[in-house]
Amino acid sequence: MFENLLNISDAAKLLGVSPSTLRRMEKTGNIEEYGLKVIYTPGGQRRYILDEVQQLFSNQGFSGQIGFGTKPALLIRDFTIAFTEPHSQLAIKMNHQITATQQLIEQALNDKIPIIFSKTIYETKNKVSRLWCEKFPSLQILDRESTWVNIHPDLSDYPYDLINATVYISSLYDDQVDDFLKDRQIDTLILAGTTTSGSIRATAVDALQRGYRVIIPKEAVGDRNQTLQNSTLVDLNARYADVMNLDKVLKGMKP
Amino acid sequence: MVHQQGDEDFYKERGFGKILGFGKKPGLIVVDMIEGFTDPSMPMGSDLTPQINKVNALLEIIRNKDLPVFFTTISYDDDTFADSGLWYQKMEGLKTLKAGTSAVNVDPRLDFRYGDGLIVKKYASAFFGTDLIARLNAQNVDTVIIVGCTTCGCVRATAVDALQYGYRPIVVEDAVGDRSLASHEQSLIDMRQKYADVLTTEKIITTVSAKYPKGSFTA
Repeated sequence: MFENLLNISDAAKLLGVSPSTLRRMEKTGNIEEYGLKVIYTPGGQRRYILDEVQQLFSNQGFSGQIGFGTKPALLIRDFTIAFTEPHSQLAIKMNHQITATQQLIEQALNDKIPIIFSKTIYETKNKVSRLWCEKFPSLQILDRESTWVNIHPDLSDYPYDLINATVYISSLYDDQVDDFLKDRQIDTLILAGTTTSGSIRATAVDALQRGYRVIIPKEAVGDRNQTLQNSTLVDLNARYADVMNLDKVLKGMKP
Repeated sequence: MVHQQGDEDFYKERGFGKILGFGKKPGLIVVDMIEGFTDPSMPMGSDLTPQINKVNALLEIIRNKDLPVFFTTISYDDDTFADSGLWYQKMEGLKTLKAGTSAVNVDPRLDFRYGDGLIVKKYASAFFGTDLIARLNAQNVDTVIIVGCTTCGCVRATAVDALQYGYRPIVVEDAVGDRSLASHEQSLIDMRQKYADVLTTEKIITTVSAKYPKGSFTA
């Protein structure tokens, strides 16, 4: 994993930018938008993963930015007790994702942007639910009636336009969500929630396929570790979604 | 790989990554092994020679057992790429996949035969906007063996969708490829833990040989 690393001047040379540009992009949090991963040596030197730099350098056909349309909706996935309580088998460590999501919700309420809360449930009667559960049985705790599927307390008091329980990986597989978006002529989906490599990724792929613009504020999505989070955001930004800073998304939501 | 081993232990502790197994009847889906992706001189291409050899080995056993084979291609026939929706704005490289050019043809090194299914898709998943489900159901397929490219793109999207449509997905780790090794490896881990079984070509050949007697699927 730690082979093929470039120092800042070599990485900058390959990309045709200056080292100070790379440092600035890191500071402003824009570096993932360029498909780059930065790691630090024990001595505090920046190193860039060659693989990603090469991919960016040799394949210009990736990572275009699509941007906001005219009618956005905010979709929050799985910030439920099961995914946030530390003693749950499904729990992931949330640092500031909940706070970032609150900011998105406040902005959405302010600008009359519809908000959907989508949560994974397990249903014995459903074939897909049973099959998925064969792969990871921890899903079984997500019974529709159980407290595990309640919304995280910091997010539970907001007036959601739709709360949808789904057995699917992508939030858009459910007709209720699909109809909701079509009825309101939504053209842009802002995704928050967890996990980045799981339902967020699957929903982003699906949304792009269905013709929606997909915006992912990176502070508002979370995963089981930072490597997974970063590599998923690189893939998503290269192929399916615009991955942005929270600030940029909040600005973009304003009419 | 120390880090990734740690991840796998974490998932195991939490009960992820169980085996889905083979069902009653598998089919093989060869995802996007078209020249636009398998020719390293193309903008989105890379050298997938080892994977092509593995796919040919799998095709032999699958045909020997009279099991169905489906190839997919991405091909756009609209001059403005309207049939790629918003996707070409994200991935400009898709503009190389123009209908009628060799880029959208299945790599000639593959044993692609008359009578094999050819699914023309516009997006990442082989299921999205295609007749793949009808074809799988018509042949009573309940398990899909997925090979091709790219691992983190169309292979992954197809595996996730296969599960969401109720099929057992099996991804063949040495018969899928990606330009980025990091993305390839991460996607295999993700799929193994949450969505699909991830097995080697050798393991598939052994299992298919033993589990499905020849002649059991002929009409």
